[in-house]
Order: sequence, then C-alpha cells, then structure tokens
Amino acid sequence: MTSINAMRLNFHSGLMLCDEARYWNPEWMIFYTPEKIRTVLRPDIVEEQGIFLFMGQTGTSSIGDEFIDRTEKAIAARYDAEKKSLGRTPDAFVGLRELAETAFDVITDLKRLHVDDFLRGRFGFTTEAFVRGACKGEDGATRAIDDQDTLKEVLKYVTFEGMPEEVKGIFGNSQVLAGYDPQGGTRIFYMTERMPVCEEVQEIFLAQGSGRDTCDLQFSHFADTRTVRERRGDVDRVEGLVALLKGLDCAFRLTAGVEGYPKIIYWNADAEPGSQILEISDMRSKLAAEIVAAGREGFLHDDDVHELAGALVFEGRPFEAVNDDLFRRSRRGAETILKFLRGWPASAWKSR
Amino acid sequence: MALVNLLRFSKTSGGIVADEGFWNIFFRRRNHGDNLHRLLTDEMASAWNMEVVLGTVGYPSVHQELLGETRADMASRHAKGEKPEGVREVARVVFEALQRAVRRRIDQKLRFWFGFESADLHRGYYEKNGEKIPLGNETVKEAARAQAKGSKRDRLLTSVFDARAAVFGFDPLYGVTAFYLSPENAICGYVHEGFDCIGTGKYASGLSLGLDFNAKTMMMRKAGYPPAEGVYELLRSSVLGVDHFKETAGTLHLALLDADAEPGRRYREIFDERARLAGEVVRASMGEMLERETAVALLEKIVFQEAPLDQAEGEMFDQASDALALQFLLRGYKKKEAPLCARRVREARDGQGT
Repeated sequence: MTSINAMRLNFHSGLMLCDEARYWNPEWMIFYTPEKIRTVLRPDIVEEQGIFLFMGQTGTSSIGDEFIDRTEKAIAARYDAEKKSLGRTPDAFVGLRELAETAFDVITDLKRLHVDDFLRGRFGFTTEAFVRGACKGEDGATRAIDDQDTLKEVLKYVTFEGMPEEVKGIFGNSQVLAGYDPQGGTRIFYMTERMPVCEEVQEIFLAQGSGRDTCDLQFSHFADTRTVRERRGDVDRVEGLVALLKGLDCAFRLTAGVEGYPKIIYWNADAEPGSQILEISDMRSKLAAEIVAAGREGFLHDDDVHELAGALVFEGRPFEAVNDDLFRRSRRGAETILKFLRGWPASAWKSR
Repeated sequence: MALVNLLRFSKTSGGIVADEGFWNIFFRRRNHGDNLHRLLTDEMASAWNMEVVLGTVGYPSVHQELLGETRADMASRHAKGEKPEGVREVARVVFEALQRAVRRRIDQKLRFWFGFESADLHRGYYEKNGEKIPLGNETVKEAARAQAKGSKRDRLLTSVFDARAAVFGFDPLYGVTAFYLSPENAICGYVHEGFDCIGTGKYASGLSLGLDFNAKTMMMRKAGYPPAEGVYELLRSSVLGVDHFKETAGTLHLALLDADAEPGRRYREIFDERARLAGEVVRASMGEMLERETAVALLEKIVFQEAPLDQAEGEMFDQASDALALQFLLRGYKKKEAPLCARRVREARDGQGT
C-alpha cells in the first residue's frame, strides 16, 4: 500500500517520489511513519565516490525496513573492506549494477532467514534440510524428509508457488533502486521477491506499490510524448517533477494506502558538491502536491503549475512566497481555491 | 467499508453519521458512498409517529437490496393501514432482508455450480423435470455444505458476510433506540447504551466516545447531551475514525432525529457543504485552534439554526486562535506544522508591508 516512483532525467540527474502512509495491524490503522525511500549509501561513500543510491520499498514495512538498513550496512562493509585492502580510498568503487546485486543478496539472505523461521516453526526443519532431504531430530538422529504431501507443501512455501497466505508477508515486498554512478550515470533497478528478479529498467520511469497503476497511466503518457532524444537523457527536471506529482496526485485520490505528504528526492551530479541531493518531505512537498492538484482542476494554467512547482522544489523559492502565488494566480479567486484545497465538495468550487 | 457512528442524545433525540469512503476491487478508493437512508416516507413517519434511518457499511449491493425490500415492506404495511410496532420491528424487517440477501447469493452459487440449493442439501435431493435426483456424491455435499454454512467463502461471499448495518430511530413506545445488524454473527442486537460504531473506523470512534462516556457518572450519562454537544461528540468520533483507519474518507453525512420537533423537522439530513463545514469546526477544535465550547456553539448555528454558510465559516476563522494556521490545518497540513506555515506566511507578508 504505497506509491514509490523513480524517473531518469538525464545522465547526471533523476527524481524519486513516494507517499508516507502505512497500514498497521489487521485493522489497518493508518500511520504516517514510514520513510519509504532512503539512501543506502553512507555519507563518506557519497562524498568520496560521487555515487548516489536510493532504495524505495513497498510491502511489509518491517521486512522492507530491514532490507534497507541491512543493504546500507552491507554496502558500507564492502566499501570499508575495499578501502582497507587498498590502504586508501578506492579510485572507483563498484557501480550501481553491483550495488543493486548487493542489495538483492541482502534481500535473498533475509527472505531465506524468514522462510526458514517459518519452516522451523511449522515443520521443524529449514530450507537447507529440505534440500538435503533429511533433518536431525532432537535426539540427534537423522530423519528423512520424504513424505510426498510434506514435500509438496514445503516447496510451495519455499518458492511462493500459488502465493500461500502464510508466507505472503515474506514474499510481498518490492523495491525500486535508483541513483547515479560516474560510469553508468543515472539508472533505475526493479526488484521483487515474488518472482524473484533484480532488473535494470530501460524506460525513463518506474512506479511500484498499490499506486502503480494510476501512476503508470500518467508516467506512460509523459514518456510517450517525449522524443527519443529526450527519453535517452534530456528530460526537463520541472516537467519530470510535475509528471511524477501528477501520478501521485492520482494515486492519492484513487488508490488505497497512498496518503500523507509526498517525499521528493532529486539528485544532480553536475551540481556543486553539497547541493547535489535535494530531499523534500515537509510543507514544501505538500505545497508542490497542492499546486499540481490545483492545476488538475483548472485553478492554475499549466505554465503556472510548472513555474511554481519548479521554483519551490529546485530553486529554493520560499514556501510562503509560493503559497501566496498559488492563491494570487488562482483563476477562480483565492476563496474558491481555498475551499478546494480544504477538500470541500465540488459544489463549493466547481460552479464558480 | 466505511464508518457509521450513532449516538442517542436523549430519549427523544439523536444523531447518526456516515462517511463516504469505500474501496472496490484492487483497492480502488472511492469517495462517493451513500450510507445513510431514511426508511419511512413523510406520510408513514407522520402517521406512525416514528422515524427510522438505516446506516450501512460494507458491500453496497447488499445494502441496496435490503433497502429496497424494507421500503417495499413499509409501503405495503402503510397501504394496508398497518404499522410496525416500533423501531425494533423495522430493524427485524431489515435484518431478515439482510439474511435473505446472504442466502440468495449462496443459493445462486450452488445452483450455478451444482444445480441445487441449500434447501435441497438439507433434504438430500433436488428435482429436475419432475425427477428426484439424490445428492449421492459426498464430495459435492461437503463442498456445498461449506458454501451453505459460509465456512468457505470467495471474495463475494466474504464481502457479503462482512456487511454491517445499524437501524436507528424513535417510536412512541421506546423513544430513540438503535439496533446492530450483522449477517456474520446472525444478530440483530439491541443497542442499550445509546451509541454504536460500526465499520473500519470503529476503534478510533469508539475510543473517542469512550473518552467522554468514561469521564462521566451514571447520572451524567443518563442526562445525555444537548443536541449540539451530541453532534460535536459524534463528529469528533467520526473524524478520528476517518483520519486513522482504512476505507474511510470524504465528507461526513449526518442525520438527526428529534421526536419533539415539528413534523417535517423530526428527521433532518446534513450533507455536502454544510456537513463539510460542521466537520471542519470539529477538526479545528481537535487541532486546538478553536475552543470546544466555541465549536459547539458554531455547530448549533450550522446544524440546528441553519445559519448561512459564509457567515458561519467566517465566524469559525474569526474565533480561531490563528486563522491562517487553521487554513493550513484544514488543507491537510500536519497539526504541528500548520502554525509554522502560518507564521512564515505572515512574516513574509509583513515584510512586504501587505
């Protein structure tokens, strides 16, 4: 129940966008607590190597959080080991493909740990014993695992064949990895434990989570209307941002579990060090979402949507100035747009 | 799924609230649910000195079915010069329609699969073209029994069993009463304590009402609520449910009962913009930007005196501790960030001399 999205703008830059809602417990209480997209690189690696990598995750929150935290630690450990063996900072650490594979290894290990926990609880043995065809009992004696019904059932849990309910929480996660390395540029990777896969995405965008289908409609339209040259690395950052926000706006309205403030991540390796990464998840990202929603309902001209969103997110124009401009430029007056932004029924703002 | 909360204010008055949210297949969110339905016409209400409203959560098609059946039943009684004994009897009519709605779907499925219905399962055979065909296959009987008992459910039957309803009304004999209806537990239960919360938001709503009830003595609880205060508590419980649980959203619908009012004012519905403003007043109070007493006084004007909306809205902002912060709160900005947003906007405007 999530919307996590990524877009490649050009070789040096890209965008990611997500919501912040989580459903908690079987009653599905709503919490705005997850940070669904996070960096998985320690600051010194970013600084020394000029690499950026962000991981977005959807599915069971606790498992996804563990994936991200452990991936960060695994990459850091790999970097430290290389640094130690060289006795200096590596000239070029591994690229995004290798880092994505590292993340996938972490996910594989964790998934197998959780599946083993489940098998041990239900059958008293692990995947390894299942593969070997025998397990040790409490008395230390080896016992064969050869009952046909047991074998069939365990195979389903291990491979997720038929999506058994009992292990859905373990296999139900997906990840979006996106970032930049100096050799390969900005790239996007897709992972899911259902299949399982770790694939680089050829398109300029990727949408995952329950918001995927509504976001896909917006993003596909956006990509369809770019030229080949643009798609290969010349997408305007403001246009990309607005396209992503339009997709999320649609998910906010139509898709369960997509709620709260958006979080926007933008990276640009061409920018000055220290300003290469922007992360916005406060009143500014909320205002950016409002600008796009206002554009959708005709309160703002398209040009105004782009100008205001771009100034707010990329140019550091103050929140208060953009907020006032939103009301000033409303084509149906400040009072009417205020009713719209407060969620009033359309009768309060459509007819005027 | 949605949320329905009801509260008896006194022996003769009360309110019921529903939201507009529901999901359909693949978690597509919809905010146009219509979950409060008056069951009597003006004529019946006047002739029987009763009012009854149905609140529904869950599978809309089931509710549409029982709504149609109940209204037809009431119309038939009215045409024959008969009347239900009270809210209880209307609730029974709704409940039996609800159970029929469940059975009809189960029988439909059995017919579709095997060519017989639940009743045939109990007698062990079915008839086709005059021929008696025994149910001799144990596998078929076992599968059919699982369906008939509801122990094995597909998505449709799960939704059907998950449907819930509340019947709320007043009659000359018992005053304001309510009934809780569940096909899952086959129950049409009398709501003695004067409140109920059903649907996905029930835990937040129940907690909200519980905070008020549990702070009062028995005598205080029996004294009930002045209507505007009752509406405040109802809306507060509903806003909490909508904000914190799945499948709840949109503008809150409110229906009010008042047996002491003039005919024509005994049942009133507050929808759309007026309901939105009433909800905002409560939200402002919950956001600590409007005193509770002020909010209740505003609800009196909005809900009971039907004050012009512009005027009431103006009063809400005039009486707020920080009107600009309240605007941000109502736009969906976080409660702890809204004052900061307002301060920044104010400082910028002051700096520009505007």
